[in-house]
Amino acid sequence: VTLPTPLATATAVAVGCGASAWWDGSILDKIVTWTLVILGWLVVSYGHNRREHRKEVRASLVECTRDIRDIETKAHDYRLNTSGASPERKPMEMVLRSRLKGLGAALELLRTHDGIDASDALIALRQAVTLNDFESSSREKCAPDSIILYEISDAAHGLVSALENAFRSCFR
Amino acid sequence: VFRRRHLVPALREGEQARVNLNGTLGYGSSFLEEAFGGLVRLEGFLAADLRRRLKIESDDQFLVQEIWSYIDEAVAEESPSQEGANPAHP
Repeated sequence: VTLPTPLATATAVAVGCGASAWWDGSILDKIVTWTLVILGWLVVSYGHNRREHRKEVRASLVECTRDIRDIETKAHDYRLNTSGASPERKPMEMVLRSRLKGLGAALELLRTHDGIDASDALIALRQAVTLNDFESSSREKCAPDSIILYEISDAAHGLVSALENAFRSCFR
Repeated sequence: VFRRRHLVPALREGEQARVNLNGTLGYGSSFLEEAFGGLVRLEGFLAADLRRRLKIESDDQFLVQEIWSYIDEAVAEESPSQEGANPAHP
């Protein structure tokens, strides 16, 4: 003889089913058990997916940060070591434009798929690197204490910070 | 050169001008500012007119955003009297 559990008895009485087999304690126990198992699995799975997603986004951010620092170094090199008359300036300009375009594509993916938006800071970096006399034949080499170099570094730091802040708000 | 040879004639001759920026290794901001900001600053186009008639296409949406910021900044730099001046579109 299987004795019904207090919960099953209470439920059965509440719905007025009396001694119906449907509300037999063992069946209700199974339903409750499986519901808890499924809910637990959903919670654990959601947490696991979120942690994995966070890791993937973090890896992309690390990659982007490396790119930003590399662009900063190359932009300093371009401004310090070439003038408008230098034959090696053209390939450096091409590399800078191309690297900025690649960075833009990576950040576009982060924005559309992961909600990490740092568009204003990216535009500020592009402007710091390629505005003013970039690609101009009359450009002079910069002095080591030039404001242009400071602005490039400032924009690079700004973009890294903007990405970090967006990441923290997304995965708080 | 791009602005004078291609952009301005296209905007003056047609109702709409479509600029496709894909297929290159990227653009310098100096070029974008000169080409698109220059439409307002040097050619006398109105920003509202450009918003209606100039279609900028690019896979890089940041680029499109940057170009419109140059157009808006060029408007801000213009004096109020020029803002209401004769639009370049016939």
